[in-house]
Amino acid sequence: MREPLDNAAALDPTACVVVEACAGSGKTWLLVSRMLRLLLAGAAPSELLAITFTRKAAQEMIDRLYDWLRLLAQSDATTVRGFLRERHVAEEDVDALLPRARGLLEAVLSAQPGPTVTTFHGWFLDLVQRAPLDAGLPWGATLLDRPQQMQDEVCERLFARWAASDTAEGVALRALLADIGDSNLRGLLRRFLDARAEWWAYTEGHADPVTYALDRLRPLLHPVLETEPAAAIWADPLQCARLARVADALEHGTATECKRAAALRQALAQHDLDAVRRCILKADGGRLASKATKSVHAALGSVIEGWLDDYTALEEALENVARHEIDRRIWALNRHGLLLGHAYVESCQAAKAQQGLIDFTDVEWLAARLLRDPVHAPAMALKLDVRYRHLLLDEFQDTNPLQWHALSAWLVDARQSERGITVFMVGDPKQAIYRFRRGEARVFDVAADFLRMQFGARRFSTDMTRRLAPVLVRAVNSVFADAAGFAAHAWTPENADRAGAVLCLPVQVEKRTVDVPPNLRNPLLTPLPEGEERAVQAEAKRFAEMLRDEVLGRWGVADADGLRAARPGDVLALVRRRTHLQRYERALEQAGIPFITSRRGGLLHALEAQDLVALLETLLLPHADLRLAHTLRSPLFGCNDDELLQTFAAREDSGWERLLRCAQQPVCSPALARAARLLVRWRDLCGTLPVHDLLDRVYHEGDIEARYAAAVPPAMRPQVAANLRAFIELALKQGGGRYPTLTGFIRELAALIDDDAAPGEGVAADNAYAVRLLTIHGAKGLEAPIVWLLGGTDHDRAAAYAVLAPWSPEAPRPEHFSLFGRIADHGTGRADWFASEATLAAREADNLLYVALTRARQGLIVSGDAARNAWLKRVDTAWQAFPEPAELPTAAPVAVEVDTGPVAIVAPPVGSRVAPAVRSIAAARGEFFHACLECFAPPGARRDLAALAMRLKLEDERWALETAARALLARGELARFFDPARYLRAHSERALLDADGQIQRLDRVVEFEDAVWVIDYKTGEDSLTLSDTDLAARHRAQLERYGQLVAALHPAKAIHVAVLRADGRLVVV
Amino acid sequence: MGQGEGQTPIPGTLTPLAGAALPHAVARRLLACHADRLPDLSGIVVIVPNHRAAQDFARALARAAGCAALIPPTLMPLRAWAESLAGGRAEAPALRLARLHGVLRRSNGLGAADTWTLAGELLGLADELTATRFGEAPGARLRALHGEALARETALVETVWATLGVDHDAPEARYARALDALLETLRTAPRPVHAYALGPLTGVERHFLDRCATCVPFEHHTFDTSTGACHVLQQAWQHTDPPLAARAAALAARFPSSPLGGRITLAPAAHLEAEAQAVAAWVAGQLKAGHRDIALIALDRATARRVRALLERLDVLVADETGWALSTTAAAAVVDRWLECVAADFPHAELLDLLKSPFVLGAPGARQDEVLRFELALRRHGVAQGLADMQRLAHAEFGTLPAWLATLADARQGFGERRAPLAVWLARLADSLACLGAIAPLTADTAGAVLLDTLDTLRRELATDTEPYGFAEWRHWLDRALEAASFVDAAVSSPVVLTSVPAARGRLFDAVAVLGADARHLPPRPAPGLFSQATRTELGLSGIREATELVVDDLMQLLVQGPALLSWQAWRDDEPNPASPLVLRLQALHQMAWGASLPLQAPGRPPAQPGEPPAAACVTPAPTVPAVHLPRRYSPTVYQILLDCPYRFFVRSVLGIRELDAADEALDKSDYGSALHRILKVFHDGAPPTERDAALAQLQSCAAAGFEALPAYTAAAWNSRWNPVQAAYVDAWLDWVAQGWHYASGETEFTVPRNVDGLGEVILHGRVDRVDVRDDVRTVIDYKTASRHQLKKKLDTPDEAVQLPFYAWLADAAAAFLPIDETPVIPLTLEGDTDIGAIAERLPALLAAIAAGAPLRAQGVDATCAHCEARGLCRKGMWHA
Ligand code: SF4
Repeated sequence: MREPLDNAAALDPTACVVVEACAGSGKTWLLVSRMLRLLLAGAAPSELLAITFTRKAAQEMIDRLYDWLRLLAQSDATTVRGFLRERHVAEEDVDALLPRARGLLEAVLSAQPGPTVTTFHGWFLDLVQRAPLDAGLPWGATLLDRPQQMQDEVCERLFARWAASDTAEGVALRALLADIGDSNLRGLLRRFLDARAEWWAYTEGHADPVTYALDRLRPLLHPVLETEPAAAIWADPLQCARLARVADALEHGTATECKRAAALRQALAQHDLDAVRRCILKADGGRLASKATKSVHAALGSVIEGWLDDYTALEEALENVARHEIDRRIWALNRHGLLLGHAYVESCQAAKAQQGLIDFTDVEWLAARLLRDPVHAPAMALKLDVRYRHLLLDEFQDTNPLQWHALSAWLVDARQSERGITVFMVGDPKQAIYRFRRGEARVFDVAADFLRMQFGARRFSTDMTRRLAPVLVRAVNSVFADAAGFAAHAWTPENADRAGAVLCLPVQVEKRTVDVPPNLRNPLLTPLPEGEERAVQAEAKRFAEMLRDEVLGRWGVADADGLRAARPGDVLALVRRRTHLQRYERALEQAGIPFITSRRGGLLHALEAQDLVALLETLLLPHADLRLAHTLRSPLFGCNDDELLQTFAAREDSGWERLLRCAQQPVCSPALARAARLLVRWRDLCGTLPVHDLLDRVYHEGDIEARYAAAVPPAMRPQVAANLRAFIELALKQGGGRYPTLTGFIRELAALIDDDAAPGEGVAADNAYAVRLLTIHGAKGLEAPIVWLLGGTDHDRAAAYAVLAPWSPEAPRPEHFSLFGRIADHGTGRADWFASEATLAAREADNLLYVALTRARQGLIVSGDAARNAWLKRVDTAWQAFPEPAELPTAAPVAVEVDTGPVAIVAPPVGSRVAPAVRSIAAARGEFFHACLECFAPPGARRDLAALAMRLKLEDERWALETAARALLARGELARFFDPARYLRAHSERALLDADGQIQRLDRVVEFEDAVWVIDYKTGEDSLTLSDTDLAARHRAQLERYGQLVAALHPAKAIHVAVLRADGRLVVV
Repeated sequence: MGQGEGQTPIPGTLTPLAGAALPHAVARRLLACHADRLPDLSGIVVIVPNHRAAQDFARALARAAGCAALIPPTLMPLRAWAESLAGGRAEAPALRLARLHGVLRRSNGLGAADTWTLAGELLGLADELTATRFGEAPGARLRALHGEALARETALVETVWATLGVDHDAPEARYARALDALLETLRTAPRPVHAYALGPLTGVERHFLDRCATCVPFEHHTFDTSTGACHVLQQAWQHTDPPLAARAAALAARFPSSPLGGRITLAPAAHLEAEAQAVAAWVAGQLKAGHRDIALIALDRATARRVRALLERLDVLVADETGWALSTTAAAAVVDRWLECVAADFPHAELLDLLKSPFVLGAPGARQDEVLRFELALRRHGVAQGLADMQRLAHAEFGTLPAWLATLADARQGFGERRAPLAVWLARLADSLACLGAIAPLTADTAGAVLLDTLDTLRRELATDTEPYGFAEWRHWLDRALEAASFVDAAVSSPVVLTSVPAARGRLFDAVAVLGADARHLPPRPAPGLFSQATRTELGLSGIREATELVVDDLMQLLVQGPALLSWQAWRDDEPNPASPLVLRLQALHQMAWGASLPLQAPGRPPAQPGEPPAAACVTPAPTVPAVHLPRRYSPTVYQILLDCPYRFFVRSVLGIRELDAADEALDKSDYGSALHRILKVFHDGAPPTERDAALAQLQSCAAAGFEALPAYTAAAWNSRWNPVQAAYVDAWLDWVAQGWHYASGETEFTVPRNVDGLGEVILHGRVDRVDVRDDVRTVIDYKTASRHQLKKKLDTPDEAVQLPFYAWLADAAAAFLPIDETPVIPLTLEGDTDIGAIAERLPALLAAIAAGAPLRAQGVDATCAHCEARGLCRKGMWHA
């Protein structure tokens, strides 16, 4: 069924194809090539829908596509022909397709819309946002970017409400608190919420989901759950008699046995089954290997057989009771947990709905519902602007069942309505590592089968990797030789000569004996040694030192330009979990190796970001001594400990007051003086300046970049600079700039710091400078010449207080949904599901190792605690059997171009600040009066006086003002300017264009035979207070300018200029 | 040029004009046609795209005319021209929206739709439809086309039609009538009309221009795309045929060197800051080259804001024409904080924000000290919310109610809560703002004045709307209204402007930079709306295609005027971020035609102000402390800190710096511990009976009392945690009593004076949870909520975990931890052979050493550092090796 990959067939644009491709085999190459072939074959760009796992991968795919299209458009014919042949365009078509190939760049770039390259989430969100109203989706809802905060708030609210009530929820809450405690309860609810899509799918169509789920769980448990099983034992005289007999016999034994006998008697008397259990069974509930000592045997003689039968019967009874009790606990956990979990989910949904928000799980669920329900199909078709006809699916192994159901529904539907639809799917079930995000590797096979049946898709697989050097290929093959379904990988011929090295470094530490040293440690001289996790400690040290002393600058790595010595950027260090990340970071720090890391909380945990937060908090609350001291000590101010002593030690008042006072003194240290000056200045700004602008002032006046560069070790500089940059970007972008106040911003950061949505660290422009220290999940899609897998102690902790919701991908919904507690409480009824989940988990662990090992091109180092790390043992064993070189041949370092740094920006100052216009009632009256004059003076201008009065809030005075204006115009002495019979022409609001291109608006221009009058209305109340001379003086310059303009238009006439005051007096200038 | 395929060209004479900038060309053309009229051009009309373009055109005209003064033509955007002649007033948008919403909120089956958003969208759609002068009702049209497939959408459109009376009061209908009136005046008194860069035209406008062309001389000017830079852009953006190579070859043949050479620069940046720095460097370069009028087209607002800040460092001020949502201003934030205080009974964070704001309650300087004191008190007492509690606290703190708090309470009191129409709510808000003394400070602030105006206008516009709303609904509406209102800060006057593509249309600039020229911003992509593009086309509305053509058109006009820059982030959030297709197409054509790519702009370094003293390299701190600064009293906690990390001791005990409590910190583990400590003290002080059940009952009642005052959930959680331990505790205690021990005292302070060289007398002291005695021996007992396992570890290294040995030494007693968070409760005693004397005496010895000048180095192990409040001071992680 699986054929070896045939690129020609796989790229055939008319065929439907599934490709299972190993790590480094060029999936992206294949996928983008396929897109090209589709376009070449005439597909419209908008008909292409490519779905991949991350937005980053999508962006990279688009980038690659554009690159190739450019190449096709711009290269010479031979290159293009070669390119097409490489992608298996039939020889006879190559020349014919040449023009089309060349035109594709523009065809794609000018397409409206172009090809869609997105993620499932992106696609679903688009669908949901376009959904017809009658699909009942939350129209107009926007994506909630930080669900965790809202979830926590809802949880607190519910807890408070439930705890204070006697409702079923209140009862359940108290029961769960008593049974499992606060933190387990919170964990349980969180996991229930994470599994809400499964919950919805499982209970879909049932009016009372909790009852439904409980009804389905009930048959799996002991038939009687209401009564305590212990009671049955005490009620059974047979058992009691047995117990007595066993106790009797034990009395013949050793001292210990006598004690057991006494305890058993007491237990019998007190009806204490736990005590009985302690006497009969081992502490862990298992059976004792030997039930009694020789002395008992001797004492009982032949009766011993019967006695042993008694004993076994008791053991069985106790085990039954234990199982029964487990079932009772399962039942209680589910009865209460499902009730609360469901209520929690509902409350979260309601909270989102109230704010018009949805999250990704909602989107997924809604999209699936939309696609599965044929009722909406015609409306949906009208809502979409594209008809996808060519589907390309990448990284399909990480798809979850719900996504698959949505997609398959769409496919079935699309095939019916659309001819010539094609599907191309690539993935690698070996690289499925997203179970924690509900990814399900089995979906891949199910989908492949579906595509074969429905679309006649052929299924190919390839185990040829272009990434790994031969040594690594052999090393990986040896590790996975026994893994089910693993086919040995091969290397591509081009790589045959590429050097490779693999090294396994088990770290051994002797157990430390706890002995008190002869002398007490003097903490002033001797630091406490790092205590815990000594293996990790040793490993970290080894890691950093080996990188520094042996790998960097020595090991030769091949890149496009040939061989050169490894740089920090060539190394990818991987961890399985973040647990010990800090330890490795510290080691790199101490070795002076630059690195970037995917630490949780990212940016906000970086010291430089915390410095800025401390600064902002200081600006808000300078009396917070700790923040102030932190700020002073940061490179921003660089105060030393003596200066701190001056500011803080032995005082009654706050450090802030001391600082301010100190800054007044002539002998104040320059650092403190600078700090006081800048802090006071910035404090004044923080009430009104937006956060970003305030930060820019801080960066500018505090010279932050340069000061940090001087303060931190050279290896850290790029990262620190990147983080400082990222922080100011955060102020621009966080919440879309929705936090206009400093407090709001700080609160937002505080809420964000341990949120999953916390911003990552700044990415320094140049990736070559730093070792990347990432989780394996974070390294998905990455590769590096040298990979170091840091194993640590690697202890897996089993999940507890979580959801069991097995969902086989063929099924429309999970076959089961229930909650479980600790491992010991899994019970027997659900054993098969637990077992298959465990198998899946084990497979995923294998996958994770596979992904980690296959990130490397040439050098691969695996380290870890020799005693406790399972991966390490496995790798060590495999590699010892097939020794390979342990180091890469050395090469000379190639100097990296030193960036001379940007040139300083210099520019002449431009622009000015203008004082805002004063808004007074007097000014408003003047403006209105002015408008009245314009309006009423013939020929009259159109003005909406009513609206103007309303805008100026002069509704009450409107009539008075209008009357006054009319009265003014009617004055006899002004008649020559306002009575049309008395002049040739008059213009109100006369616009004139001066030589500079400015339009001047003259209030009134009146033309006579021999003269032209320019009249300027000065109707503001202030003009009344001025004498004529002052008034004329004030406006002379402006009026003379008007005069000149009018003179230019009427060279033959005399020009008069005058000011008309509100009281009707005309002041000739 | 660039007319959409589906659209008929604009009627009238189409005159392509040569020359770099269209306004200049049009001005020359105008003068050439109408030379006879000079200097009075008032009889001519020039339809300009916007008011700023009118100013630029006037400049161009003056320059072309070269005379001292002239009477300019009527220079107006079409809409303004028409509306200057229109009578009556259109219904206010806020009122229309409210009316529509009033109907929608009552219609069933809208499910989870956000009705305000929906109403807003429908209103926009209605306006667009009216502006197409759509003959039949759109509902009928939709039904005819699609039957029932879009039934609900269709029904909604019909609702809008019925509700809004789109044919009469609607602004677009009024505009259509105004255009008719305008046409009439043109018919009766014909005047030549010129137009250029008209931008998007609605059906109604097209119709007007059509008829206009039949009755007056009408010239529509476009620019000549057959020459120079313009031609290259046209070839890159408006043609795909003949193929790229052929077009490139033709261009190369025509222009031996690129007409764009040195004119269009690209700035693909590695990140936002790099983009901003590149733009700033480019602007600086333009200014130095003597260019004045520079447009920064802000496709990416974040970059634009960053650029503006960087340029301000150089004293290059940027006038922002685009503005910001009113809701993002500090003034609006104050209103928001106030409403949050009303909504949620004064959450402390919002309250403090309000108290520190310069906009309310008088000058903040006057109350500053009191507010700081109040904030510290809130934190100390953990008051997170609730006006009553806050008033009580303020009373306790100040002896009287501070005026600012009283005013807040008054304003809150006066804020009515009954359901009411939007306008009534706005009036209530205005009254409360007046009560808070916010009006004058807001009026004095530019954004504040706009805010007050906006609120006032809304109130007046909505005066006739009677639909009642609750507080939360009203607030939701208000948030949206303030989000939609924009604030343009007019405080800067500068030839360097931040603007948008439509606002720059038809204007004159010396140089133009387009910020954010990536695929996500250019061409613009509208968010999905009620109808798809196809349906919109069927309804005669414009869509993405038209929008794209328009933006290309506009950009061409802008970019050919002078030097231009196209910047974008080639990387965003560590992901590749492709350039705009327009950029890619231009690059490809240019590369093929002239074998060279367009020049790139590198980022520049923005200025900074170096301070004195310059920053020094971070090193591990190891201060020495003069004896006077050393404390006189030492508890086991302080001793422990000194052992763990001397520098932390320096911060905690020498500098005396502690973390402030947050007012709303959730109760944590240590709170649980202290609650138990209190309960157990009460229990033992109460001389409990030694009979098990009675003792248990007594302990139970102590616990009940101890948990009583807690919030319900905490009480429940702690109860369920304590309950199972309780009996075990009593059992352990009775066992202990049976061995002859009895309770002597709780929370007992022990002190031992010591003379330390160089320091004098110090007091070593400790407060012990419980002291029990038997005969003349005593045992000190320390309650612990830590696990047995953790405690055992401590006991294994008494020289490093010194608390218990120190207690034993202070009290001269045996000592034990008593774990009280697990069953069974079994004391863990200190090994008898522990040399407690040596451990305790180490402390004075260390103090002597410190007094003698031993440095206090920062050297905590990671486990200590993880919870150390002093990390920001010691700077671990930034040390030079
Ligand atoms: S962070 Fe660590 S080194 Fe620094 S003061 Fe705290 S404990 Fe000491």
